[in-house]
Amino acid sequence: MKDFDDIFKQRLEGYEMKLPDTDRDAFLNRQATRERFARRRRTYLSIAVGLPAVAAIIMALVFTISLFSKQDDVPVNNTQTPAVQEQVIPAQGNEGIAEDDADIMICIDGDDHWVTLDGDDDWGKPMETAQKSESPGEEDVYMVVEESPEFPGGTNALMGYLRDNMVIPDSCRENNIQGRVLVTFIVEKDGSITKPVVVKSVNPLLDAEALRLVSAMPKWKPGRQNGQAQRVKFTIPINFRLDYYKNQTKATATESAVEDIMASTKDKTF
Amino acid sequence: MRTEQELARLCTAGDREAQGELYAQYASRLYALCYRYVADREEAQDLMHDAMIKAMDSFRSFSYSGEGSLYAWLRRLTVNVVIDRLRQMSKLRLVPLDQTMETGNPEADEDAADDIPAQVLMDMVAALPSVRRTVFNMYCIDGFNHKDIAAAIGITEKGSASILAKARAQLKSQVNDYLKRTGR
Repeated sequence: MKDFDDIFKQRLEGYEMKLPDTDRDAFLNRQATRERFARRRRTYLSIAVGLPAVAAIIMALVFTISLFSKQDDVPVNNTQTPAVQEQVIPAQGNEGIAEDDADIMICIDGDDHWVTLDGDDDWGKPMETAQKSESPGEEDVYMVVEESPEFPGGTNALMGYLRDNMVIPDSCRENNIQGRVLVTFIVEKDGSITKPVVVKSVNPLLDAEALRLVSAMPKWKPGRQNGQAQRVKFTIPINFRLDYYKNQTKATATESAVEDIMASTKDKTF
Repeated sequence: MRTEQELARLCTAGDREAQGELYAQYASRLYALCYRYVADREEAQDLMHDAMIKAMDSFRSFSYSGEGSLYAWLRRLTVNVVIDRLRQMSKLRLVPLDQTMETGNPEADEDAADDIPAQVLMDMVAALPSVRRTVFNMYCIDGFNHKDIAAAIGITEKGSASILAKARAQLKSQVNDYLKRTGR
């Protein structure tokens, strides 16, 4: 049997059969195509694996950064919270508001009677109370809305308006009465001003002037919540100052911004 | 000429020239091997390509152990590819019953058989039913034992031995027929 097998084994093992002439190229092309596809597959695979990996890394980074920044935010928030509360106080109570002495001290000076405004940071800001006021029988009034009401032309225009229209009663000037009056009012849905109330009084005469100024304002741009115009309570401080620099010569001679304001106010006020 | 290892390495790296050289050296031998199993030229050609391509990916597992080890490695790989294909086509599961009837086995004249051209022998093998052909090829030519064969094509060892006996008997009668026809 072994011998019979050997006939075949010896003759057929390593036997070569002639292939078609085109077969070599066909094979090489097939292999080349396959390698190309394998490369493409590898590319797709690396993209499929790589992109989520990169995304994950980026997300991890963002998460880490946000963790750190949140930690940084904590003290900032803590310092901001009292500031908000400060602004709420005038809206809730009319009395006992701590006077910002520094503001007034700067202004008090001398015999000359002049009026100017200060540029406090909180100037013209709406009351920061996160609730609607409860006025029975009345439509809701918002303390805070997404889009605050605005004096036409903005805060600077409002300052300009007050500066240009302010009239300080002679008796106040003579008696050196000055200070900051806080007036609260409601900006109606159509932008008109209603219910002006002095929430921080200085002097009845100055209070009256403050109310006159507020009531005489042009229509505001109403505040909006969810795109809808709403009634919004708004508070502005009005500073009545008897300024040191009354003389025109002095006023024109000076160059600071405050002095410029005084100069422009002068003619209209007096 | 490149060494066998270098040829293998370059082929894997996609060197077109090396792949051409590999083809030139081994294609016709592997083609004959495939034909011996599948008895169909086109399919043998296709299988040879598959085997060579698989080799390109598998050269990492090739370790050189002397001249001719690359061919030995390629040959083993090719037989595996062929067996896989045959198994997929479940040709091996169908044992044809029509040719199980064998008349007496006259002893072939082995000396005279030495003169039979290889291609004639090849055709005789190719004429065997596929299971017999596979078992005969694996056992008698490619050096597998019955255990390997049984595991590879899913039959028992006894079944493999039995099939081999029938394959031999059929080949012997064919050899005798050939010798008679050629007047020896």
